[in-house]
Amino acid sequence: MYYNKNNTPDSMQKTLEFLKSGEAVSGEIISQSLGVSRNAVWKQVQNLKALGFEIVAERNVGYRLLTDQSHLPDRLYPFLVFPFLRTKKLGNAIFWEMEISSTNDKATELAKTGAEEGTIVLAETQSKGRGRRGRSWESATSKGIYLSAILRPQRPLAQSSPYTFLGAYAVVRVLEDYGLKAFIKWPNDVYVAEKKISGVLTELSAIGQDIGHIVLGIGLNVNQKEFSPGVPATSLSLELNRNLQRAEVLAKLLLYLEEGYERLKKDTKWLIELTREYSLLLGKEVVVTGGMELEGTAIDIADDGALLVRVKENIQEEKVVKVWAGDVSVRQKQR
Amino acid sequence: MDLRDVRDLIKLLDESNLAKLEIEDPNGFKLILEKEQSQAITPKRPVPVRGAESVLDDHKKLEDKIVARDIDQEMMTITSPMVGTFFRAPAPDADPFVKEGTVVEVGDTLCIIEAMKLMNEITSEFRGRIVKILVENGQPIEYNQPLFLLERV
Repeated sequence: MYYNKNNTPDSMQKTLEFLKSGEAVSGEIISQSLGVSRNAVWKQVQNLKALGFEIVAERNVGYRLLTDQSHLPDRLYPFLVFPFLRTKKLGNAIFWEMEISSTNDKATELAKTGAEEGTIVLAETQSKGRGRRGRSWESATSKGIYLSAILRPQRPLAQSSPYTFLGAYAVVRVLEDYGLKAFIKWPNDVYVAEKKISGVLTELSAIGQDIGHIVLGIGLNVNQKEFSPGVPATSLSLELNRNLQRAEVLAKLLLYLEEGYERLKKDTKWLIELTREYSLLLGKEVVVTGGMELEGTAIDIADDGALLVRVKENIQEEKVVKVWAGDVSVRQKQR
Repeated sequence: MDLRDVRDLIKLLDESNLAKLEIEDPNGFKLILEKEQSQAITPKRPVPVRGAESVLDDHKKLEDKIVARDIDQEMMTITSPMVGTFFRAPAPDADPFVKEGTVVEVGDTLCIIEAMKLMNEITSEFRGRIVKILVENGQPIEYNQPLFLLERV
Protein backbone atom coordinates (compact mmCIF):
# COMPACT_ATOMS: atom_id res chain seq x y z
CA MET A 1 0.00 0.00 0.00
CA TYR A 2 1.18 3.46 -0.92
CA TYR A 3 -0.07 6.23 1.36
CA ASN A 4 0.64 9.93 1.55
CA LYS A 5 0.24 11.56 4.95
CA ASN A 6 -1.25 14.71 3.47
CA ASN A 7 -3.87 12.97 1.39
CA THR A 8 -7.40 12.52 2.63
CA PRO A 9 -7.72 9.27 4.53
CA ASP A 10 -9.58 6.53 2.67
CA SER A 11 -12.74 4.94 4.07
CA MET A 12 -10.80 2.10 5.65
CA GLN A 13 -8.68 4.57 7.64
CA LYS A 14 -11.77 6.59 8.56
CA THR A 15 -13.49 3.45 9.81
CA LEU A 16 -10.41 2.64 11.89
CA GLU A 17 -10.54 6.17 13.36
CA PHE A 18 -14.01 5.41 14.75
CA LEU A 19 -12.86 2.18 16.31
CA LYS A 20 -9.47 3.05 17.65
CA SER A 21 -10.69 4.12 21.10
CA GLY A 22 -11.65 0.51 21.75
CA GLU A 23 -15.26 1.44 22.50
CA ALA A 24 -18.02 -0.34 20.64
CA VAL A 25 -19.44 1.79 17.82
CA SER A 26 -22.57 0.92 15.92
CA GLY A 27 -22.40 0.38 12.20
CA GLU A 28 -25.28 2.82 11.91
CA ILE A 29 -23.26 5.69 13.40
CA ILE A 30 -20.24 4.98 11.23
CA SER A 31 -22.32 4.71 8.07
CA GLN A 32 -24.17 7.97 8.80
CA SER A 33 -21.00 9.88 9.69
CA LEU A 34 -19.15 8.71 6.60
CA GLY A 35 -22.19 8.98 4.39
CA VAL A 36 -21.90 5.42 3.15
CA SER A 37 -24.11 2.36 3.38
CA ARG A 38 -23.92 -0.01 6.31
CA ASN A 39 -22.79 -2.66 3.89
CA ALA A 40 -19.86 -0.45 2.89
CA VAL A 41 -18.89 -0.12 6.55
CA TRP A 42 -19.07 -3.88 6.92
CA LYS A 43 -16.73 -4.19 3.90
CA GLN A 44 -14.17 -1.85 5.47
CA VAL A 45 -14.35 -3.83 8.70
CA GLN A 46 -13.57 -6.95 6.68
CA ASN A 47 -10.63 -5.13 5.03
CA LEU A 48 -9.29 -4.16 8.45
CA LYS A 49 -9.67 -7.73 9.67
CA ALA A 50 -7.71 -8.91 6.64
CA LEU A 51 -4.88 -6.61 7.74
CA GLY A 52 -4.84 -8.32 11.13
CA PHE A 53 -7.05 -6.01 13.22
CA GLU A 54 -9.23 -7.94 15.63
CA ILE A 55 -12.75 -6.54 15.49
CA VAL A 56 -15.67 -8.16 17.20
CA ALA A 57 -19.22 -7.50 16.07
CA GLU A 58 -21.59 -7.42 19.02
CA ARG A 59 -25.30 -7.74 18.45
CA ASN A 60 -27.21 -4.51 19.09
CA VAL A 61 -24.00 -2.73 20.12
CA GLY A 62 -21.75 -2.57 17.09
CA TYR A 63 -18.14 -3.11 16.20
CA ARG A 64 -15.41 -3.17 18.79
CA LEU A 65 -11.67 -3.14 18.10
CA LEU A 66 -9.34 -4.98 20.48
CA THR A 67 -6.83 -2.26 21.16
CA ASP A 68 -4.42 -3.76 23.64
CA GLN A 69 -0.92 -4.23 22.27
CA SER A 70 -1.12 -8.01 22.03
CA HIS A 71 -4.16 -7.79 19.74
CA LEU A 72 -3.05 -5.00 17.41
CA PRO A 73 -1.30 -6.20 14.28
CA ASP A 74 2.45 -5.84 14.56
CA ARG A 75 2.75 -4.19 11.16
CA LEU A 76 4.23 -0.92 9.97
CA TYR A 77 1.11 0.05 8.04
CA PRO A 78 1.54 3.64 6.85
CA PHE A 79 -1.58 4.86 8.67
CA LEU A 80 -0.29 3.28 11.89
CA VAL A 81 3.14 4.87 11.41
CA PHE A 82 1.96 8.41 10.54
CA PRO A 83 0.73 9.29 14.07
CA PHE A 84 4.25 8.64 15.41
CA LEU A 85 6.11 10.78 12.87
CA ARG A 86 7.62 14.11 13.89
CA THR A 87 9.50 14.71 10.64
CA LYS A 88 8.77 17.53 8.20
CA LYS A 89 9.15 15.59 5.00
CA LEU A 90 10.77 12.21 5.56
CA GLY A 91 8.09 9.53 5.65
CA ASN A 92 5.27 11.74 4.37
CA ALA A 93 4.80 9.16 1.65
CA ILE A 94 5.14 5.53 2.64
CA PHE A 95 5.16 2.52 0.37
CA TRP A 96 4.52 -0.57 2.47
CA GLU A 97 4.26 -4.23 1.47
CA MET A 98 4.19 -7.39 3.51
CA GLU A 99 7.08 -8.75 1.47
CA ILE A 100 9.38 -6.91 -0.91
CA SER A 101 12.36 -8.52 -2.61
CA SER A 102 14.56 -5.61 -1.51
CA THR A 103 13.35 -2.26 -0.19
CA ASN A 104 16.33 -0.58 -1.89
CA ASP A 105 15.32 -2.01 -5.27
CA LYS A 106 11.73 -0.85 -4.76
CA ALA A 107 12.86 2.62 -3.66
CA THR A 108 15.16 2.88 -6.68
CA GLU A 109 12.26 1.98 -8.94
CA LEU A 110 10.06 4.63 -7.28
CA ALA A 111 12.85 7.23 -7.42
CA LYS A 112 13.36 6.62 -11.13
CA THR A 113 9.67 7.12 -11.79
CA GLY A 114 9.67 10.46 -9.99
CA ALA A 115 8.84 9.70 -6.33
CA GLU A 116 9.41 12.82 -4.29
CA GLU A 117 12.20 13.31 -1.80
CA GLY A 118 11.35 11.87 1.59
CA THR A 119 9.37 8.93 0.24
CA ILE A 120 10.16 5.77 2.19
CA VAL A 121 9.73 2.08 1.48
CA LEU A 122 8.99 -0.39 4.28
CA ALA A 123 8.59 -4.14 4.23
CA GLU A 124 7.73 -6.62 6.95
CA THR A 125 10.20 -8.96 5.32
CA GLN A 126 12.52 -9.00 2.33
CA SER A 127 12.96 -12.06 0.16
CA LYS A 128 16.23 -10.73 -1.25
CA GLY A 129 17.30 -8.29 1.44
CA ARG A 130 20.80 -7.34 0.48
CA GLY A 131 23.92 -5.66 1.65
CA ARG A 132 26.92 -4.57 -0.32
CA ARG A 133 27.74 -6.45 -3.54
CA GLY A 134 24.96 -8.99 -3.33
CA ARG A 135 25.42 -10.02 0.29
CA SER A 136 22.21 -10.91 2.05
CA TRP A 137 20.51 -9.21 4.97
CA GLU A 138 18.43 -11.39 7.26
CA SER A 139 14.91 -9.96 7.40
CA ALA A 140 12.87 -11.90 9.98
CA THR A 141 9.19 -11.11 9.42
CA SER A 142 7.96 -8.09 11.40
CA LYS A 143 10.94 -8.27 13.75
CA GLY A 144 13.24 -5.63 12.33
CA ILE A 145 12.92 -2.36 10.47
CA TYR A 146 13.66 -2.72 6.76
CA LEU A 147 13.65 0.80 5.45
CA SER A 148 14.76 2.61 2.31
CA ALA A 149 14.50 6.37 2.01
CA ILE A 150 14.66 8.43 -1.17
CA LEU A 151 16.81 11.55 -0.90
CA ARG A 152 17.53 14.09 -3.59
CA PRO A 153 20.36 16.33 -2.41
CA GLN A 154 21.32 18.99 -4.94
CA ARG A 155 25.03 18.39 -4.92
CA PRO A 156 27.77 17.44 -7.30
CA LEU A 157 28.71 13.78 -7.32
CA ALA A 158 32.17 14.66 -6.06
CA GLN A 159 30.57 15.67 -2.73
CA SER A 160 28.49 12.55 -2.23
CA SER A 161 30.70 10.71 0.26
CA PRO A 162 29.23 12.13 3.52
CA TYR A 163 25.92 10.41 2.75
CA THR A 164 27.51 7.03 3.33
CA PHE A 165 27.81 7.92 7.03
CA LEU A 166 24.31 9.33 7.49
CA GLY A 167 22.49 6.06 8.14
CA ALA A 168 24.88 4.92 10.87
CA TYR A 169 24.62 8.35 12.51
CA ALA A 170 20.84 8.12 12.79
CA VAL A 171 20.99 4.55 14.12
CA VAL A 172 23.56 5.52 16.78
CA ARG A 173 21.33 8.37 17.96
CA VAL A 174 18.27 6.10 18.16
CA LEU A 175 20.21 3.53 20.18
CA GLU A 176 21.38 6.28 22.54
CA ASP A 177 17.74 7.27 23.07
CA TYR A 178 17.22 3.75 24.38
CA GLY A 179 20.30 4.02 26.57
CA LEU A 180 22.57 1.85 24.45
CA LYS A 181 26.17 2.70 23.65
CA ALA A 182 26.78 1.98 19.99
CA PHE A 183 29.87 1.93 17.81
CA ILE A 184 30.27 2.54 14.10
CA LYS A 185 32.35 0.07 12.18
CA TRP A 186 33.65 2.29 9.42
CA PRO A 187 31.99 3.33 7.31
CA ASN A 188 28.41 2.37 8.10
CA ASP A 189 27.76 -0.73 10.20
CA VAL A 190 26.55 -0.26 13.76
CA TYR A 191 27.56 -2.51 16.64
CA VAL A 192 26.43 -2.83 20.23
CA ALA A 193 28.60 -4.86 22.58
CA GLU A 194 30.66 -6.07 19.60
CA LYS A 195 27.59 -7.47 17.88
CA LYS A 196 26.06 -6.12 14.71
CA ILE A 197 22.70 -4.44 15.21
CA SER A 198 22.34 -2.48 11.98
CA GLY A 199 23.60 -2.36 8.42
CA VAL A 200 23.32 0.38 5.84
CA LEU A 201 23.33 0.18 2.06
CA THR A 202 23.55 3.52 0.30
CA GLU A 203 22.94 3.53 -3.43
CA LEU A 204 23.27 6.65 -5.50
CA SER A 205 22.24 7.35 -9.04
CA ALA A 206 24.17 10.04 -10.86
CA ILE A 207 22.88 12.41 -13.48
CA GLY A 208 25.99 13.54 -15.29
CA GLN A 209 28.28 15.06 -12.70
CA ASP A 210 25.50 15.56 -10.15
CA ILE A 211 23.63 13.42 -7.69
CA GLY A 212 20.30 12.34 -9.15
CA HIS A 213 18.92 10.56 -6.13
CA ILE A 214 20.16 8.55 -3.18
CA VAL A 215 18.45 5.48 -1.81
CA LEU A 216 19.46 5.07 1.80
CA GLY A 217 18.71 1.57 3.00
CA ILE A 218 18.80 0.68 6.67
CA GLY A 219 18.28 -2.68 8.30
CA LEU A 220 17.84 -2.37 12.06
CA ASN A 221 17.33 -5.34 14.36
CA VAL A 222 14.52 -4.52 16.79
CA ASN A 223 12.59 -7.47 18.18
CA GLN A 224 14.68 -10.40 16.94
CA LYS A 225 15.47 -12.96 19.60
CA GLU A 226 17.75 -15.15 17.51
CA PHE A 227 19.87 -14.99 14.39
CA SER A 228 21.33 -17.45 11.93
CA PRO A 229 24.89 -18.46 12.71
CA GLY A 230 27.48 -16.20 11.16
CA VAL A 231 28.33 -12.65 12.08
CA PRO A 232 27.54 -12.10 15.78
CA ALA A 233 24.32 -10.09 15.83
CA THR A 234 22.04 -8.50 18.37
CA SER A 235 18.80 -6.53 18.51
CA LEU A 236 17.30 -3.74 20.61
CA SER A 237 15.07 -6.31 22.26
CA LEU A 238 17.98 -8.58 23.23
CA GLU A 239 19.91 -5.65 24.67
CA LEU A 240 16.95 -4.16 26.56
CA ASN A 241 15.15 -7.35 27.56
CA ARG A 242 11.83 -6.13 26.28
CA ASN A 243 9.94 -5.84 23.03
CA LEU A 244 9.67 -2.47 21.40
CA GLN A 245 7.01 -0.85 19.30
CA ARG A 246 8.62 -0.72 15.87
CA ALA A 247 6.63 2.32 14.74
CA GLU A 248 8.13 4.29 17.61
CA VAL A 249 11.66 3.16 16.77
CA LEU A 250 11.05 3.96 13.12
CA ALA A 251 9.78 7.45 13.98
CA LYS A 252 12.97 8.18 15.93
CA LEU A 253 15.12 6.81 13.12
CA LEU A 254 13.42 9.02 10.55
CA LEU A 255 13.67 12.06 12.81
CA TYR A 256 17.45 11.69 13.21
CA LEU A 257 17.89 10.91 9.54
CA GLU A 258 16.09 14.08 8.57
CA GLU A 259 17.92 16.16 11.13
CA GLY A 260 21.30 14.82 9.95
CA TYR A 261 20.33 15.24 6.31
CA GLU A 262 19.36 18.87 6.83
CA ARG A 263 22.60 19.56 8.73
CA LEU A 264 24.65 18.05 5.90
CA LYS A 265 23.32 20.73 3.57
CA LYS A 266 25.27 23.33 5.51
CA ASP A 267 28.29 21.42 6.72
CA THR A 268 29.72 17.91 6.59
CA LYS A 269 32.56 18.07 9.11
CA TRP A 270 30.38 17.22 12.12
CA LEU A 271 29.41 13.90 10.59
CA ILE A 272 33.02 12.85 10.00
CA GLU A 273 33.85 13.89 13.57
CA LEU A 274 30.97 11.84 14.92
CA THR A 275 32.00 8.80 12.85
CA ARG A 276 35.47 9.21 14.35
CA GLU A 277 34.13 9.60 17.88
CA TYR A 278 31.97 6.47 17.71
CA SER A 279 34.46 4.44 15.72
CA LEU A 280 34.82 0.78 16.56
CA LEU A 281 38.04 0.50 14.59
CA LEU A 282 40.34 3.30 15.68
CA GLY A 283 43.34 2.05 17.61
CA LYS A 284 42.66 -1.53 16.58
CA GLU A 285 44.55 -3.93 14.35
CA VAL A 286 42.56 -4.30 11.17
CA VAL A 287 42.53 -6.36 8.01
CA VAL A 288 41.30 -4.85 4.76
CA THR A 289 40.16 -7.20 1.99
CA GLY A 290 38.34 -6.90 -1.31
CA GLY A 291 39.41 -3.92 -3.40
CA MET A 292 42.32 -2.98 -1.21
CA GLU A 293 44.38 -5.64 0.59
CA LEU A 294 46.36 -4.68 3.66
CA GLU A 295 46.86 -5.12 7.38
CA GLY A 296 47.73 -2.53 9.96
CA THR A 297 46.50 -0.26 12.71
CA ALA A 298 43.46 1.97 12.11
CA ILE A 299 44.65 5.35 13.31
CA ASP A 300 42.15 7.95 12.13
CA ILE A 301 39.38 8.94 9.79
CA ALA A 302 40.44 11.58 7.31
CA ASP A 303 38.34 14.68 6.68
CA ASP A 304 37.10 13.18 3.42
CA GLY A 305 35.88 10.13 5.35
CA ALA A 306 38.62 7.70 4.34
CA LEU A 307 40.03 5.35 6.98
CA LEU A 308 43.72 5.89 7.69
CA VAL A 309 45.65 2.71 8.39
CA ARG A 310 49.27 2.58 9.50
CA VAL A 311 51.01 -0.25 7.74
CA LYS A 312 54.43 -1.64 8.65
CA GLU A 313 56.55 -1.95 5.52
CA ASN A 314 59.43 -3.57 7.34
CA ILE A 315 60.98 -3.37 10.81
CA GLN A 316 61.95 0.27 10.47
CA GLU A 317 59.53 1.77 7.99
CA GLU A 318 55.85 2.50 8.30
CA LYS A 319 53.43 4.24 6.02
CA VAL A 320 49.89 5.50 6.34
CA VAL A 321 47.45 4.20 3.75
CA LYS A 322 44.17 5.90 2.93
CA VAL A 323 41.48 3.23 2.74
CA TRP A 324 38.33 4.06 0.80
CA ALA A 325 37.41 0.63 -0.55
CA GLY A 326 37.04 -2.94 0.54
CA ASP A 327 35.88 -4.56 3.76
CA VAL A 328 37.55 -3.78 7.03
CA SER A 329 37.51 -6.19 9.94
CA VAL A 330 39.20 -6.22 13.31
CA ARG A 331 42.04 -8.75 13.37
CA GLN A 332 41.31 -11.53 15.80
CA LYS A 333 43.97 -11.84 18.46
CA GLN A 334 44.75 -15.51 18.09
CA ARG A 335 48.40 -15.38 17.23
CA MET B 1 46.10 7.70 -17.87
CA ASP B 2 48.89 5.19 -17.97
CA LEU B 3 50.89 3.62 -20.75
CA ARG B 4 48.50 0.69 -21.01
CA ASP B 5 45.57 3.00 -21.71
CA VAL B 6 47.55 4.77 -24.41
CA ARG B 7 48.48 1.43 -25.94
CA ASP B 8 44.80 0.45 -25.95
CA LEU B 9 43.88 3.71 -27.61
CA ILE B 10 46.52 3.26 -30.30
CA LYS B 11 45.25 -0.22 -31.04
CA LEU B 12 41.74 1.10 -31.17
CA LEU B 13 42.70 3.84 -33.59
CA ASP B 14 44.53 1.34 -35.78
CA GLU B 15 41.49 -0.83 -36.07
CA SER B 16 39.13 2.04 -36.77
CA ASN B 17 38.51 4.19 -39.81
CA LEU B 18 39.40 7.28 -37.86
CA ALA B 19 42.27 9.49 -38.82
CA LYS B 20 42.73 11.25 -35.56
CA LEU B 21 41.86 10.76 -31.92
CA GLU B 22 42.05 13.60 -29.49
CA ILE B 23 41.50 13.24 -25.76
CA GLU B 24 41.69 15.92 -23.17
CA ASP B 25 40.83 15.70 -19.51
CA PRO B 26 40.05 18.55 -17.12
CA ASN B 27 43.52 18.26 -15.59
CA GLY B 28 44.90 19.59 -18.84
CA PHE B 29 46.29 16.26 -19.95
CA LYS B 30 45.95 16.06 -23.70
CA LEU B 31 46.64 13.20 -26.06
CA ILE B 32 46.50 13.40 -29.83
CA LEU B 33 46.88 10.28 -31.88
CA GLU B 34 46.99 10.60 -35.66
CA LYS B 35 47.17 8.15 -38.52
CA GLU B 36 48.46 8.87 -42.00
CA GLN B 37 45.55 10.08 -44.05
CA SER B 38 45.95 7.47 -46.81
CA GLN B 39 45.69 4.75 -44.23
CA ALA B 40 42.78 6.36 -42.56
CA ILE B 41 40.57 6.46 -45.62
CA THR B 42 41.23 3.14 -47.26
CA PRO B 43 38.01 1.36 -46.80
CA LYS B 44 37.82 -1.91 -48.66
CA ARG B 45 36.70 -1.09 -52.15
CA PRO B 46 34.30 -3.46 -53.78
CA VAL B 47 35.76 -5.39 -56.70
CA PRO B 48 34.56 -3.59 -59.84
CA VAL B 49 32.08 -5.59 -61.78
CA ARG B 50 32.10 -5.05 -65.50
CA GLY B 51 29.01 -3.31 -66.74
CA ALA B 52 28.08 -2.17 -63.31
CA GLU B 53 29.65 1.28 -63.40
CA SER B 54 26.56 2.99 -62.11
CA VAL B 55 26.42 0.64 -59.15
CA LEU B 56 30.08 1.30 -58.55
CA ASP B 57 29.44 5.03 -58.68
CA ASP B 58 26.69 4.69 -56.17
CA HIS B 59 29.04 2.68 -54.07
CA LYS B 60 31.68 5.33 -54.38
CA LYS B 61 29.25 8.03 -53.27
CA LEU B 62 28.10 5.95 -50.38
CA GLU B 63 31.67 5.26 -49.42
CA ASP B 64 32.53 8.94 -49.50
CA LYS B 65 29.61 9.60 -47.24
CA ILE B 66 30.73 6.93 -44.84
CA VAL B 67 34.28 8.25 -44.78
CA ALA B 68 33.08 11.79 -44.24
CA ARG B 69 30.84 10.70 -41.43
CA ASP B 70 33.60 8.65 -39.85
CA ILE B 71 35.85 11.64 -39.67
CA ASP B 72 33.13 13.84 -38.23
CA GLN B 73 32.04 11.19 -35.84
CA GLU B 74 32.68 11.97 -32.28
CA MET B 75 34.65 9.55 -30.17
CA MET B 76 34.69 10.44 -26.57
CA THR B 77 35.99 9.08 -23.34
CA ILE B 78 33.80 8.88 -20.29
CA THR B 79 35.93 9.54 -17.26
CA SER B 80 35.37 8.70 -13.63
CA PRO B 81 33.71 11.46 -11.61
CA MET B 82 35.26 10.09 -8.44
CA VAL B 83 37.79 7.89 -6.72
CA GLY B 84 36.51 4.38 -6.04
CA THR B 85 36.23 0.80 -7.17
CA PHE B 86 34.83 0.09 -10.62
CA PHE B 87 32.07 -2.49 -11.01
CA ARG B 88 30.51 -3.50 -14.31
CA ALA B 89 27.48 -5.25 -12.80
CA PRO B 90 25.03 -4.50 -9.97
CA ALA B 91 26.05 -7.70 -8.12
CA PRO B 92 28.84 -10.24 -8.56
CA ASP B 93 26.52 -12.79 -10.20
CA ALA B 94 24.55 -10.31 -12.32
CA ASP B 95 24.97 -9.38 -15.99
CA PRO B 96 27.13 -6.35 -16.72
CA PHE B 97 25.34 -3.04 -17.35
CA VAL B 98 27.09 -2.62 -20.71
CA LYS B 99 29.41 -4.56 -22.97
CA GLU B 100 31.61 -3.42 -25.81
CA GLY B 101 29.20 -2.76 -28.67
CA THR B 102 26.22 -1.90 -26.45
CA VAL B 103 24.31 1.17 -27.61
CA VAL B 104 23.39 3.27 -24.60
CA GLU B 105 20.73 5.93 -24.28
CA VAL B 106 20.99 9.05 -22.16
CA GLY B 107 20.41 8.02 -18.55
CA ASP B 108 21.36 4.36 -19.00
CA THR B 109 23.55 2.97 -16.25
CA LEU B 110 27.12 2.33 -17.34
CA CYS B 111 28.75 1.07 -14.17
CA ILE B 112 28.88 1.36 -10.40
CA ILE B 113 31.72 3.10 -8.64
CA GLU B 114 31.93 2.21 -4.99
CA ALA B 115 33.61 4.50 -2.53
CA MET B 116 33.37 3.86 1.21
CA LYS B 117 30.41 1.56 0.61
CA LEU B 118 28.49 4.21 -1.23
CA MET B 119 27.41 2.59 -4.48
CA ASN B 120 27.42 5.26 -7.18
CA GLU B 121 25.50 4.34 -10.28
CA ILE B 122 27.07 6.23 -13.17
CA THR B 123 24.74 7.00 -16.05
CA SER B 124 25.44 8.02 -19.63
CA GLU B 125 25.03 11.65 -20.59
CA PHE B 126 25.10 10.75 -24.26
CA ARG B 127 23.57 8.37 -26.70
CA GLY B 128 26.24 6.21 -28.21
CA ARG B 129 27.96 2.92 -28.69
CA ILE B 130 30.41 1.61 -26.12
CA VAL B 131 33.51 1.00 -28.19
CA LYS B 132 35.84 -0.01 -25.43
CA ILE B 133 35.77 -0.55 -21.68
CA LEU B 134 39.07 0.78 -20.44
CA VAL B 135 39.10 -0.65 -16.90
CA GLU B 136 38.71 -4.06 -15.34
CA ASN B 137 35.87 -5.10 -13.06
CA GLY B 138 36.84 -4.57 -9.42
CA GLN B 139 39.73 -2.28 -10.32
CA PRO B 140 40.50 0.74 -8.12
CA ILE B 141 40.16 3.92 -10.15
CA GLU B 142 41.22 7.51 -9.78
CA TYR B 143 39.31 10.73 -10.30
CA ASN B 144 39.05 11.48 -14.02
CA GLN B 145 40.40 8.13 -15.11
CA PRO B 146 39.02 7.13 -18.52
CA LEU B 147 36.43 4.38 -18.12
CA PHE B 148 34.71 3.98 -21.46
CA LEU B 149 35.31 4.97 -25.03
CA LEU B 150 32.01 5.94 -26.55
CA GLU B 151 31.16 6.60 -30.17
CA ARG B 152 28.26 8.98 -30.49
CA VAL B 153 25.49 7.72 -32.70
